[in-house]
Amino acid sequence: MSLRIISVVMAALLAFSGSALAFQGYVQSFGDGGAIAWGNGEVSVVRSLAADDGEEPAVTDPLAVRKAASQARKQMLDMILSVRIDAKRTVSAYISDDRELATRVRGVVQNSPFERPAVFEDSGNIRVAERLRGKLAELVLPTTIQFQSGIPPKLSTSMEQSMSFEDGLPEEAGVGARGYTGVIIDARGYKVTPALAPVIYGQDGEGAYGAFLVSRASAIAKGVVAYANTSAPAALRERVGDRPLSVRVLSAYGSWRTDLIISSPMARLVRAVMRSGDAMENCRLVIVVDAPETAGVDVGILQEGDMPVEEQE
Amino acid sequence: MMRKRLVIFVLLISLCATASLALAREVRVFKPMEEDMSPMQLRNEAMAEGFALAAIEEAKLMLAGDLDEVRTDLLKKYFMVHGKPYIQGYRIVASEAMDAGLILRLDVRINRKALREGLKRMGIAATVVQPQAATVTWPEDLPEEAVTELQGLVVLTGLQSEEGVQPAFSLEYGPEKAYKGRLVLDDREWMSINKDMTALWFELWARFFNRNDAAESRSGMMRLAVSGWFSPDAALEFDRVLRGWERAVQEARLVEMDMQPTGVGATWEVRLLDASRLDTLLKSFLPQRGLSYQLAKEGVEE
Repeated sequence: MSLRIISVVMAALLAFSGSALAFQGYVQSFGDGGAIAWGNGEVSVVRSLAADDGEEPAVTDPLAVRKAASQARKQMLDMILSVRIDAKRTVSAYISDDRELATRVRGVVQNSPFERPAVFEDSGNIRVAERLRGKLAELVLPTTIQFQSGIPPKLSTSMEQSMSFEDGLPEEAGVGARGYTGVIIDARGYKVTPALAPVIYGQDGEGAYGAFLVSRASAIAKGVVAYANTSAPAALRERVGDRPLSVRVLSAYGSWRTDLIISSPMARLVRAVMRSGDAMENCRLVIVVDAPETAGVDVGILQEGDMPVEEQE
Repeated sequence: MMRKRLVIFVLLISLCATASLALAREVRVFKPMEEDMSPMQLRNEAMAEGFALAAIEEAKLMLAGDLDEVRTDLLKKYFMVHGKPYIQGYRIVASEAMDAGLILRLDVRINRKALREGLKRMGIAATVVQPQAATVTWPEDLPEEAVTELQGLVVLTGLQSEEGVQPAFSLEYGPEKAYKGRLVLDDREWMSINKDMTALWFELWARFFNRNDAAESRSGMMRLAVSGWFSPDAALEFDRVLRGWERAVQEARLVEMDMQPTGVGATWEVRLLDASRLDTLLKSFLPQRGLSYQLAKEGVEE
């Protein structure tokens, strides 16, 4: 019997260490215990079982557990619906016209992994989590997106004339893509909104990276991009490998600032790097965004009224 | 304690779910240009190959064992000609014409229910687990090409040719280039005449493999009860998950949903292909979602 307990504990430790080591990337906080880790795509909500009147949490009360879990999953669904797919739409906008799809998304959320509080645990917290990968990604990534079409999207006007380099000339593009294992796009300072399928454009207005380069299967398994709030190579190695190409963003594009613009020479190099080795298959591109500000300025869940007019391109 | 049994509701939901048992599968094919081939022919052949590939991929997920390379190739050829009933729809994702040929990327929707029944009718669903011994005879003067075709069908179906055993299939080559086939099993005999040997072959063997005692005797019905959900939506989503475990479960039917203030439970009737695989899948899926389950033979309460 004791051997069985030890093996269960070991298995739990191994499982915990695995998830703890997974690349979390930029963790966007939502109110009331919600968070989206834009590295591995995990959406999670932690809720307390404590009663509204501040009484001790009733960790063994099944009704309290059900109430907390239902509220947490409702919040998680709201968070998923508010996620931007690209510059033009949110998950909510995409699935609102398809009743069956909306039901499927709700079903996946309602079936999400769930951690009960241990009986002797004081905190009395429950946790629900689901990843914007796999089955959920399969549902929320529109089938109309032309994955791996090889045809880069184009901005209606070239930015070449209208923009000047903000940080001086971009670094020399180098001798070619050989040797680079991925790409780090530094977008700090541009108030970028994370999205499931953003596009990186060159200054000439031509897409350098996005869904048009990666397969739907890769996007579902890895995410088209990951977001982080550090450019430290060690922290990003899991996603971009040992020798990533670093590129500074010149501008964020669109009313939600989901798409990014880099210099034309860098765009050419990014295209070449992403087409080499396994970079495209593993979506080896990380966008570095600003670190979350101090606690208490959490990003709230967007309400319909908060939505700006959809971007016109 | 308030307890609602939503059997009728669940049956309706199951019927709706059955109606939409088609999933899209993306395939990529390259069809080389051949001499005297028109662009339209090239395109049609590329599409037929794409449909066949999609059907093969789906079939592999459904089958309880692995198809070897030779059978996979034969099944692909079969699907290229006879695979239409299994295709529910398609979308051309990308098309690239070049001098050497045509590259097509297709999003193909497979009618899984039809395909599952087709594989059963063709005997592949059963023989992929255990080859079927049978006697197959043909006339000595049968053209070599026809003999090759017949031998291909034997391999595709998964028959192990033995003399003097039943079922016994015999082929005759009649007038007007028509084939006459006869299949004998115990005191039963089926006969068919057709100019298409493949059609004749599967028409007769479907009679054999669709006998009530074929697959059904190998695996009985089980009752799977899962509890611990907080919403009926979650149970319905698990219904889809369960149907997707096609290497473990041949058939799953949601028969009962039990809604109580503390949670939701549901019961399925399942016909198993691989009990230990199902057990592994259940253990990897349910506990991390705070769910528990019981799997018992029909009519046996644990």
